[in-house]
Amino acid sequence: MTKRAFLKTLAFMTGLFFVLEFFLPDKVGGRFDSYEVHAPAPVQTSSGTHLFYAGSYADRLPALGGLTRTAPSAPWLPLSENPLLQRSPLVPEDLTGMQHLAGLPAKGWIELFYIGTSAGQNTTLCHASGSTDGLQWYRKPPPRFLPPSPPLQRAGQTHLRPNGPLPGNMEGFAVDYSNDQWTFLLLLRITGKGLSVWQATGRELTALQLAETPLCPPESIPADVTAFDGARAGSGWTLFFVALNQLTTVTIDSHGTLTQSTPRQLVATGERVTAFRTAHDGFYISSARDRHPTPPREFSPRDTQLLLLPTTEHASPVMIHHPGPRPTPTYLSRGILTAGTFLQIIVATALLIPVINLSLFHGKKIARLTPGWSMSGIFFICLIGMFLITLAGKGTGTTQGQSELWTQTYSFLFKSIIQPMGTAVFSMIAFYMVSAAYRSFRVRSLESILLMASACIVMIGQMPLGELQASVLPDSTYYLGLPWLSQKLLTVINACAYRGVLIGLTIGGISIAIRIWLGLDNSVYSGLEGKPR
Amino acid sequence: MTLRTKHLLIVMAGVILTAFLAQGEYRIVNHMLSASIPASTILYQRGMIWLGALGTLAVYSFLIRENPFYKAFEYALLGCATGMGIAIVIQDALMAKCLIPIQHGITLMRHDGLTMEALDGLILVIPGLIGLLWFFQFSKRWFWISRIPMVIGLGAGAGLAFKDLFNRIVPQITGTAKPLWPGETFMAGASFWDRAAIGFENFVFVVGTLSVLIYFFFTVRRKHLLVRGPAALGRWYLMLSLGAFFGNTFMSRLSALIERVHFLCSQWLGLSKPW
Amino acid sequence: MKADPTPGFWDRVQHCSPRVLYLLFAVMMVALEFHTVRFPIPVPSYVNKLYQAIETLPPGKIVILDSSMDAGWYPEARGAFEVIVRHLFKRGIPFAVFTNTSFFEGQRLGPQIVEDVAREMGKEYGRDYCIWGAIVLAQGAGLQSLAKDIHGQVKVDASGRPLATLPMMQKVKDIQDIGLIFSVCYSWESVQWLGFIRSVYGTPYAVGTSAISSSTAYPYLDSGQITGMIPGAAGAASYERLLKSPGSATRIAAVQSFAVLYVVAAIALGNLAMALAALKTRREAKT
Repeated sequence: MTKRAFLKTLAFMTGLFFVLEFFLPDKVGGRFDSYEVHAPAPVQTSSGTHLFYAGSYADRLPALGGLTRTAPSAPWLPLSENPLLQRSPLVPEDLTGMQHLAGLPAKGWIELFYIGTSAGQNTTLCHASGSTDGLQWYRKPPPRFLPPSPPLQRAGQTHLRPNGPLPGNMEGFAVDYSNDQWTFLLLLRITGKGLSVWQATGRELTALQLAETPLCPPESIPADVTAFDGARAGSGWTLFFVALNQLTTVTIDSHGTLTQSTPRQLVATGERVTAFRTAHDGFYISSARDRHPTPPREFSPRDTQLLLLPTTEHASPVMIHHPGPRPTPTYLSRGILTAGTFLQIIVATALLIPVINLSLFHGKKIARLTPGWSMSGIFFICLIGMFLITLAGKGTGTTQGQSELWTQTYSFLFKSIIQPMGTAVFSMIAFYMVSAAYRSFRVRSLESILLMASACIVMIGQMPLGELQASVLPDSTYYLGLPWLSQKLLTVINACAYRGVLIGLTIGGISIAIRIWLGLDNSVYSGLEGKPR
Repeated sequence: MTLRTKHLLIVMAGVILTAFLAQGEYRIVNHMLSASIPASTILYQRGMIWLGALGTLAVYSFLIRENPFYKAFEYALLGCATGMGIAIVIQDALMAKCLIPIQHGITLMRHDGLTMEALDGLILVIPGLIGLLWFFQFSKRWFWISRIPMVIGLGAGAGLAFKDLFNRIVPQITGTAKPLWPGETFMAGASFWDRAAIGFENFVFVVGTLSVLIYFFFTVRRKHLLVRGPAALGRWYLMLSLGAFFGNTFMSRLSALIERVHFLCSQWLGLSKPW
Repeated sequence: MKADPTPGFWDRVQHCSPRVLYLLFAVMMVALEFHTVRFPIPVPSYVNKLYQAIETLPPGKIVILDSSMDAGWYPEARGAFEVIVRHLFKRGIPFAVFTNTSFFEGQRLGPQIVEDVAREMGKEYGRDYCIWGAIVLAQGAGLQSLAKDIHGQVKVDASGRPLATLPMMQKVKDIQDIGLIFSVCYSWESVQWLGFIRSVYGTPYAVGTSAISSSTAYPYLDSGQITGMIPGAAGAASYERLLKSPGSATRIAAVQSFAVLYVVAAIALGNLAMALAALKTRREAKT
């Protein structure tokens, strides 16, 4: 075997390990709800009680699961081995989370609502309809809330909030359907004001009128609420707030008078109720406990469960469901950790080579006293001095066992040479850019006009001066404001143009990676015969 | 102007400047002393600021012309940065990742024999030895051996780059498929004009990406009728994008300059208030 | 070709020495150091998104602050890093400062900011924040291993204490315990959080980057791969406005605002001089 063939094989085998790790699954086996179960939603139908819940295979991979029982004494059986509803790339609202499920039968369907979390961590109240046997599910558009008095909307803002312009961020909700009318109670967190409960009603889910004032003001809501539900009580409401593991009930009568109960402990101390729903046979809750003492790293760090709690005080909860069987990691996914450490050591050693080369270059200059040797001398003194001082004194100020003198010296050199001069060298380009702008930004063609106009708009539009220019414009001509223009230039024009470049670059990068891996790129293997070319 | 007058002017300017700096320094030190800061701290802090200020001025002196003052500080910066970098590689990578675990493994082996835990440390001898092969770079005869760690790095790098690039680009390609008329799924309950505005924005986006891709597409001749128009459009998009790049670049450099000017005026000369 | 023996005024303006421009620019920068005019700064949607992401972080998770900054763009990096540190301290979310050997200057710069703010706000090391020992990136292999086993990769903190002895790190095992990654890096793509963490595990990822390389992040913001961004000093100033605590970034943005006018004026003057000189030449040619 020639040297070249040996090296190519070595590169191929190393690359193969990492490529296989990418294509083969990290873990095998397991159920769709093997990581976590939470957010139970009981629904009473003619065929029995269904209990829907959100499960996940890994953190942030939500799916809808279901259990059913025909009689109160019968055991809970899974509706299906597979998830009833899975995340879909076409529906961005619930890609990374499903929380606080609530279901109810209406017009021959099961209507299910939940708070979905998008990839960008935005929360949306989502809606899905299912057949009464709980097996067929369809996604519906999110319910839309209308504000009491619509504020002026700028075009392009609406799509960011599928639920309409709500006054705050939704952290919980309750839903009721009676007399052909939908009623939603929304637990909203308003920045600077805290949590409050708002009522919204309507016949259509696309037009739910939000009340002008909150049903329950922030003062009556306990701190650190993790779950919320509400139920009709006569002509008023009973609101349930769960903070960690304490349940507080707030009753609101038809005149709007609030009565708060004393808190009641729901689950053992150390556990946290993550979702809460009330039904005729008790409270359905999901709780989480941090796994103790140390879980194997491939498992969920939390222990989660679905529980049914009788409404009577001092009764202990009944277990309904635990996460399903867990997946097992493959040898490859365990081996990648060792391979990573190996690679880190090999790559780190390589960093010594350029320094040795640089030192050899300057060392020769000093030894031969060639012109400029004094500068090489400065380089050497600084190199060796900083090297020793960093070894002796690097720390962040909290370091124990290091000499104060070395730490101070290290700090001195860093703050007096590296930091100020680094910034100064970086900032010097500003002078050259001014000169370049003056000399070469000339209006000669359409392209140069575009370049110049875009540069000016971006520079001023992102600055306080741009905001000042926009503030003198009337609200209806916001699109003439430089901040708006610069934002559109950056987030639409620049984004799409650079995306084109990026796609090209990446395809090129991938093809180069494949060429190197398969040994098709010979430039890497040149100079093997002892004569570097 | 005769040479003598010129020298006289330079000396006078020097005297005025020194007096100005000395009076500023006297004011600052006096202020610090009155705040009962120990003399050693004052010396440390003022020394740091003076060295920093001289370095900054040395760098800016390059704008007039290249000079030894600039060069000396440039080499000092280069030396310090390299020295710090190499110390950190040795301390945080080679010691922490390789030598200390090996040492720990040997200690464990002496106490409990060859357990799995001891092996975890001892196995790191292998990458340590492979890493040492890099030093064959300095031998002409055995140069090829230094290629062994290099191809391992390249092979692994290719595998990792493949994963990195692939993971990053797929959402970019799928994200370009934007709805040109956002329906109920995308904008529930939105008005006609809102939909039209977003639809137009998406249209501009999709056209931009495609035309820029066509601009960089060299398989078909540039003069081909189907390529000429979109490629010209792609060029306009690129010009707008490059203008934004220029604007942003200038702002970045400017931030650094503003901070430097503030450092000189506030911390060094004590003329303006600190932020 | 024979040179014009008497170049006109506009010709001279057009071809003036760059040192004149440098001098004018320097004088203006020093003058702006003393100005005190303040305007509100616009808040772009991506800065607001990052603010909202931190406001709605789920409890029980920590945040990774990647301090991959270097001295060159420290003024911008400082703003972006400091606002997030302040926000996290204010909300009581524990965070870990991540450093690496490639951007070694960040090992000193980031922790310095955190310690200054912690002292000011009375926060405790090990409970409210910690500083991890540096890792080797090695083309992404370091991050890949970090995601699977944090304690295996970062064995000790920056001052050599075992990570497991810090109270806030005891329940943190792997990437599932991380609620957000905020990376401060000059060219944010150099630390491959996107390819090895965000795309694989879906952990929200936001960047604080120099204005220069912010231009390359917009396609990723559009596709949702990046949750939010603080681009340069202007972005940090917007964030300071959201936090209602103006600091160094607001000050830099206020000065920048006038300094960019100098460039706009320089471009305008350059073009005007060119046009007038050309007009004069044409007129002379006619006569």
